[in-house]
Amino acid sequence: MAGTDDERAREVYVMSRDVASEVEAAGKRSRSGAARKVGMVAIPVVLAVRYMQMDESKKRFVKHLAKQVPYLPGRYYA
Amino acid sequence: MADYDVIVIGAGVGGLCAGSLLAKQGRKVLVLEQADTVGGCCWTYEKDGFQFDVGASVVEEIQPYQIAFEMLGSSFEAEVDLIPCDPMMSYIARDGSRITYPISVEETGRIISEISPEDGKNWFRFADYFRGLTETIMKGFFVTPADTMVDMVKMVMKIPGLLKYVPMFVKSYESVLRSYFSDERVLETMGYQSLYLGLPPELVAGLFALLIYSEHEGIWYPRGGMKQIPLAFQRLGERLGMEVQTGKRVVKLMVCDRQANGVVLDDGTEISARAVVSDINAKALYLDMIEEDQLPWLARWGMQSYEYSKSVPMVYIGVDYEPPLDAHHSVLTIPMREIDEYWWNIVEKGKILDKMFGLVCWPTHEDPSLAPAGHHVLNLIPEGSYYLAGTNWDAEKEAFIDRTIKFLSDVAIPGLEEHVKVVDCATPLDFERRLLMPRGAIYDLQQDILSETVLRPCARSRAIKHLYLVGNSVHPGGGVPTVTASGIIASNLIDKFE
Repeated sequence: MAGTDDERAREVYVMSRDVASEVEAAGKRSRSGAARKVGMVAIPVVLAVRYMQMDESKKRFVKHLAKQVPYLPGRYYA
Repeated sequence: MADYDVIVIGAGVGGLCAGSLLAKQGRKVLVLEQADTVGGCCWTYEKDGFQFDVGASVVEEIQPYQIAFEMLGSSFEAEVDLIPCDPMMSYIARDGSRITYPISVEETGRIISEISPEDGKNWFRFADYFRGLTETIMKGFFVTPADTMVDMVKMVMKIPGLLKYVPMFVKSYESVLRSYFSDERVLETMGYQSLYLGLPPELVAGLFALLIYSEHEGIWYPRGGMKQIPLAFQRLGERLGMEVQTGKRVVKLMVCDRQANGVVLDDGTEISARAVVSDINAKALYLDMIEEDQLPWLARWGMQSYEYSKSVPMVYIGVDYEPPLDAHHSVLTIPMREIDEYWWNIVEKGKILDKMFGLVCWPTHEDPSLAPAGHHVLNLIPEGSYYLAGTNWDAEKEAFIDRTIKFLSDVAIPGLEEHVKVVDCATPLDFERRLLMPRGAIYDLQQDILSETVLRPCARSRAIKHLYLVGNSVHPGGGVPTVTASGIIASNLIDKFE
């Protein structure tokens, strides 16, 4: 049983503070999750745009390096 | 009980350097060479009184040689008589016009200023930047192992200045040069050097624009020919007990439980050793000389992914007049964009160039003793690929020699055709047969940024215990100073781990 009005008020205050902090944490998680999703979409888009803006010579340089990337673990181990 | 402490497969400069340093450590060393002479591409042979360099043509980036010979208790200058080369390089365009750069950075800047005042100013900015890189590299990059990420971290901690140059890794050689220079004639004097890496300017990483500057630090020619370098290592090594056997071809590496323990010769002879050093193409070593079940799949996959480096034909000419050239090295140039086009339209399609471009070496400019009195030697390194569509180098050799001499006579060396006394030629096929260089690949494996340092085969093999690698296939890459450095690295690793 709750005691005096003061004690009840204190309990309500503590509960509301906990709820508020949980809501705040959830908000942060949600914002960082959203930021991650935006990042996952934005970075490839930015890279793709940068690639498309390159002249043919630079594109060949990037392609030359990119096609070797899958083999790097094997090369590191050899 | 093993027959030897260490067997070295191949008596190139890397193998001889490692072998002699291991003998200095007190180890019983045997060096096996399939050819009749040591040195590989760094050799000089005689024909009708003329001395021709097989491939390597000058000494540059002198520091690894100095370190190796000091470790052997001598000095490079005491063992090899070095003649300074100045001018550094002469560039001959298709219209016959010439630009000659001396060793002096200041004088080179003045010459560039005469072509383009703005590029002349930028030359000094360029030289300052790459002088910084050269000095940073000389603090130990060449002789520090680069097998693992731990090695790389140690290297960066030892040489923190390297981090400043990371942006150069993600730009191309061509874009770096175009960020400094705009005059196409100036750029034409700088495009060819990308082919030292075996790739056109648009595919080589910007870091290697260093090559434009590095020769201004000095180049030398060994009196008596390039063979003096391997001979010096052999002489010092044999004094320390190293044994060198020529005409002995290794066909197989003896491996048990993924541990190297000797070699098998082509006559079936087995020779055991506690460790093996390979100075042959790493791709040929791993894929042809080691049983498949002894090689982890990841290592096999990695080795298969490497392309072979470029190959070149060499034409050796003895003449009875003084050729009208300006320097030990002359480059027959073409505009930078045309080198890119050459790569895609000629090399990739297996064609032979009608009009030569490439390097002309004139060793008798420094050392007249290489030819009879009044005569001279020219070693030509025209560009050319291993694969020829619908034909091969054996069929094309004679016509190629005639065409090359005629073109040189018309464009770069007037009178050449009438003064030729001796001609010889080594095509990529000849290099493959004589020196067992797969595809005639002069630097063994491709040399771009994703096949360097930790991404190049390890000096201390991870796949096979007690196996060490030297030469063009490992860090720090292709070239005589770098293979010398690889010999130092391998000998230090064996000293630490064996």
